[in-house]
Amino acid sequence: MKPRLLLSLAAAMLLAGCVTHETGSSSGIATVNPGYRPDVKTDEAGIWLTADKAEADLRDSANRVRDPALNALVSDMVCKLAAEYCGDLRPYVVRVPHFNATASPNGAISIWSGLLIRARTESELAAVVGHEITHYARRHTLARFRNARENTDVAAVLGLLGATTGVAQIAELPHVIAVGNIQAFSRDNERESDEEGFNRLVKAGYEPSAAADVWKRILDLKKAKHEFEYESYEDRTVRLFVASHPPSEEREKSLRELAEKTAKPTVPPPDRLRQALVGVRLDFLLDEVKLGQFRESKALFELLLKDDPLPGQIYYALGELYRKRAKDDDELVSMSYFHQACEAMGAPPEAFRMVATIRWRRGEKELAKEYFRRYLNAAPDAGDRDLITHYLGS
Amino acid sequence: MTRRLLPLLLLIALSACESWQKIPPGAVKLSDKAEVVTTQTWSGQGDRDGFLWTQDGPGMDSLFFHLGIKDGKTLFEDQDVEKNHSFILKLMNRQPDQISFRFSKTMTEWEIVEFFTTSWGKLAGDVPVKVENMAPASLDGHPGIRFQYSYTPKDELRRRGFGIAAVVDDKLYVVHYLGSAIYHFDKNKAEAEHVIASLKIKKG
Amino acid sequence: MFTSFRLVLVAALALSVSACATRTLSTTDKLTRDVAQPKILLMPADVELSELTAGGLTELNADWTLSGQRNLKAALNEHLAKLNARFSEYQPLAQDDPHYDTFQQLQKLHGVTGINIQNYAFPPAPGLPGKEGKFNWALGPATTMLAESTDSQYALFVWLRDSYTSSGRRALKLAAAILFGVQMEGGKQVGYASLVDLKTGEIVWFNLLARESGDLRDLASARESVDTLLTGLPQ
Repeated sequence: MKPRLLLSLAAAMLLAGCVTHETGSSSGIATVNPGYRPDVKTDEAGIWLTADKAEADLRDSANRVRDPALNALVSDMVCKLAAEYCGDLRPYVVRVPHFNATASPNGAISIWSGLLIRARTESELAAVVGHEITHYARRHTLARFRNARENTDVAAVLGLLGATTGVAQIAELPHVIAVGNIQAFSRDNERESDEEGFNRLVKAGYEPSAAADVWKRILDLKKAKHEFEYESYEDRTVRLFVASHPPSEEREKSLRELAEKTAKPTVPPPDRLRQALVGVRLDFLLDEVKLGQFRESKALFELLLKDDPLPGQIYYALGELYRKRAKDDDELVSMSYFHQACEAMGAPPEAFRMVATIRWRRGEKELAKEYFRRYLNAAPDAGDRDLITHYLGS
Repeated sequence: MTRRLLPLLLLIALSACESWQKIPPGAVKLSDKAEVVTTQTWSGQGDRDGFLWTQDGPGMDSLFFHLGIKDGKTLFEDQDVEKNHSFILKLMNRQPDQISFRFSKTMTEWEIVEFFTTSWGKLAGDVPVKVENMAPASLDGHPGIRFQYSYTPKDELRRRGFGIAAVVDDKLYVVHYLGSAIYHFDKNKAEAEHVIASLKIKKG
Repeated sequence: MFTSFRLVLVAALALSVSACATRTLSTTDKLTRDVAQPKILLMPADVELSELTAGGLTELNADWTLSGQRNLKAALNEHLAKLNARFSEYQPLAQDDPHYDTFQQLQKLHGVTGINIQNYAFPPAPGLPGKEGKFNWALGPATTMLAESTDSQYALFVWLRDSYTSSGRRALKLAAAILFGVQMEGGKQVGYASLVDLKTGEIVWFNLLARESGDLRDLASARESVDTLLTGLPQ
């Protein structure tokens, strides 16, 4: 960036800072009452109308995960956490392979598949969702919207100045400022959501340390991702995450302190997440592989392997990760993972096919054929049966 | 997310901005290496080893020709993320956490189909592409694989497609047709079959 | 976490205001009158009324949008009656209805087709030379489902974005014009409508609307807007 632009940018930010609302409860926006709907004459009603439209799209989306077991768990968990808002919230699971969950101002909650494979327990998932429910209850979107409106108003005036002073770059400022401020909730909103989300977690009988644990996990994965990286936070997910949230270390620390001050639940917290994921997790793991973020995926899979009841799925995903990277001796590494998958619980039939594939390539035809047969035994209706039979006959 | 949508935007830009050529019925020389015959009129664009034809618009029906992807290359040039990694950072072993999925001349048929669907899913914005079936087939007499697939991109209009892939002289050839599942897939499927069946690949 | 909520910047509007308020393409100027009064089914209309803030954001106004939708339907009803056609409104299906998916996909297909028509069918766009200048887009045979289940002959699709200048924006616009001689964008009415023959699945009429006037907030203005939106509709 040119120094002049940087300077103007700094000036603009200062200006924007003057009108930034202090959001959260201090912004004068009251917490919603159960059953709340905004009056049609308000700016909030416009936001709800947008949210209602988005929710209709979400409900019909091909990306929505309709697995009954998973949806049953999520609904029950949201109700436990939401307490008085149970009837106002509608959770949806979506197949998007990034770590995220969202709460719309109208009560639609969306839980992304990338979060579901990163949370290790129901309590950890509940910690993130409890945080989101607070965004809803505290009407943080409305605060953000009003903030953005004022910021862009300032930006328009600045844009006008730019147009007249002949500084070409400054004309782009409105966009820069608007985008920078609109993207995320304020840090104060995020802190508020952390604290109240934590209270919801504990009240619902979940494990208090889960909130700190899940943030630590995300932090560890980001560290693995950026270990060798000069341009850290290059990934937009990370960039946004950092911009909108208290630094993860700080967040983990304060949540850890909260947990230490809180008594453990008297009844062991429910942990139904793994069971609920049985029908869909392999798809989610393979979506992760397809992102092409080798280091983060590898760190995630290795972490999951520690105590996973279905390690066959994870060995298979690791094998796919190496096979797709295909550098140096990656094929050998992938073959060894595929072998491990074949002997472990939860292996998909494709693990046998991949062992066979690589053995075949290495000229080990008899061993390959044995695994082709095991593949067809495990998946008698496989779509590529004719092809495999062709290999077996040659 | 900008980075995720970029390939999609590139596709749209490619389709909307470059000018289309009229492809009248008859023999069409795609490149020095490939020729086909059509019975209907199409609009087409592309060069060297990649061509896109359409009748009603690229969002609705598309016939894609990937002609001769070399060993180690991506399905679309833009999908080679490592190409943009700085040479110095590479030497310092400080690259971004991104890898590309590349064609390998030693791939089996199902690996080729998987390479195709993974690359296509990335193009459509990280959406899953489902393989509906696979069967042995040939492309201009070269042994290959026929596959049918479906996916739903962010516009929520379901797409279906089918194609044939084959490796000729260590290079991958994929010709596939896709359209809206509710209308365009069936509309031009027969014509697409004819075009694919007419493909002649010149070796070398 | 970040929500899916996003503000729409005016600049993102795909349609630009041109000299003419409307541009029309059609395959015919006559409605097929197998029945004396053909029934035209209004598909769920995508209509949003917004305020253009000083900063240039379009802020959706729920109150205006709801009355705009009501006025649109009332004005449409009157307009079609004058053409000796019947107006009917699509009743949303239950999600478990066997036609639900087809109905959804038809709407999505129309959305994508509308974008392609805007990109390729209207001069000066170079267009698709394979079309040889013909206007021949269609939604295919699935439209017969709509014809049969609603006893209609045509379906009308409407997409409309209406924005009005806020007092803050007006002041800024005035300041810009007086002090610096700069023209800032004000409120706009942009959108399109299309008529689909449900028997053949063909889009028989397509109209693009883009102008710096027009209003849907009261019935009288909505009548004028609908008359403009339906310019050249087959009769």
